[in-house]
Amino acid sequence: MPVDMAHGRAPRSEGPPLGQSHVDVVSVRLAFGERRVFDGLSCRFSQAKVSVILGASGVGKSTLLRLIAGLQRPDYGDIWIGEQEITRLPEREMLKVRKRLGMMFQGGALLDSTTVFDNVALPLREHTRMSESEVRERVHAQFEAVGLKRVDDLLPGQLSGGMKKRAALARAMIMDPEILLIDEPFSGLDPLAVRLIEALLVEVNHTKGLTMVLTNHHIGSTMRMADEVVFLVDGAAISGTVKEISQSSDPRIRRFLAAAGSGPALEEAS
Amino acid sequence: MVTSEQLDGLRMMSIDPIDFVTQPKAFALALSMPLLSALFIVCGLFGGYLVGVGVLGIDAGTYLASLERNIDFRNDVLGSIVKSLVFGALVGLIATWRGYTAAPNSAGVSSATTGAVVQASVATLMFDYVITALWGVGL
Repeated sequence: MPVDMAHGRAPRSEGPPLGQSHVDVVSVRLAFGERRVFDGLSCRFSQAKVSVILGASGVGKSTLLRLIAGLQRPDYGDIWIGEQEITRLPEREMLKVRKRLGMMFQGGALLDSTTVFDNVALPLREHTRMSESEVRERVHAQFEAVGLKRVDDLLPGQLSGGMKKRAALARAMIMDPEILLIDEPFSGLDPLAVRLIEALLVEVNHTKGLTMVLTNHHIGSTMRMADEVVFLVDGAAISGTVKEISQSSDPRIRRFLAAAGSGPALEEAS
Repeated sequence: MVTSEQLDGLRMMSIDPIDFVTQPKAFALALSMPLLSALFIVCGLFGGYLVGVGVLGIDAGTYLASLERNIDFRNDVLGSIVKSLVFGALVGLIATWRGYTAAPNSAGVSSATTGAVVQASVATLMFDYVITALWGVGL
């Protein structure tokens, strides 16, 4: 892809709309000091699909999510959310864009000094004119959707890992975002909880038609739910369907899948 | 809040952490400092009363009359309120700024905490000097 170095921005030659693309990352470069994380990374995430970002630890999976969320700015390149380019938006404008996004953080990122109910109700109280009874009804409906019961008065510190993830998911979805970004949803969970969260995410994707972008390194689990896979390696991305990635002849992908013990199992899982 | 991504969590809810967390804390500190200052001044006066009257045997009326005679409203009362307001605002702004910009790890938090204490102490001393100097020339 040609790069307009003089203006410090990457031309989006394909231009929006890019088929069914919902999020486009174009020629992104990012370095933390001497460490270069992305060097011309380009990838896209399709509308209403579940996309999984795969890659080894430290390759920049969470950083890519943070770039899409506008929590991190690239040194160079463009990121499109639908028709809007976000990398040069001031923070005040970015806050408006984030109303279209929801993010479930790896650790939940719930406010630890307020109850679970207040955590999930916070966006409604801040951005809508709902009455308190409407807020209560909406929050409880969301709790039910993610399978949480009797947690209203609990503090986040009193929840188990799986419950915390569910509460974080409830909060991420409470404003009905178009795009749901999920950072390591299965980390620190037992196999049963992994299956439950996995089923929950698939159901949410099917019922609400959200564009879902997940990072993960539990290959078998995420491949069961993935429509697309973006494999990060050496600062760039290799994209494809589960089948394409699992049959890839790229030695870096084969090495990663072999190390995870998942080569042919990917197709079976999917 | 930085290390547990709570501030990023607020941003993802389209809530500005500066409006939601930083400003209220700095404002609360600026407001509470004069109240704390007043409380401790009252404690000091009461302690002086206990020692003077209770231990040294000074007459209570003499103590209170002396207190009234020697306290100047502008220099002592107003001065302490102004200083405590300024110090409270300084400490609040420095502490929240250091917390807001802390690196998201335990080393970052400890560094920010130490930095906030040192910077707030130095800033308080400097502003104490400046306010006292300006107060002295009648500003």
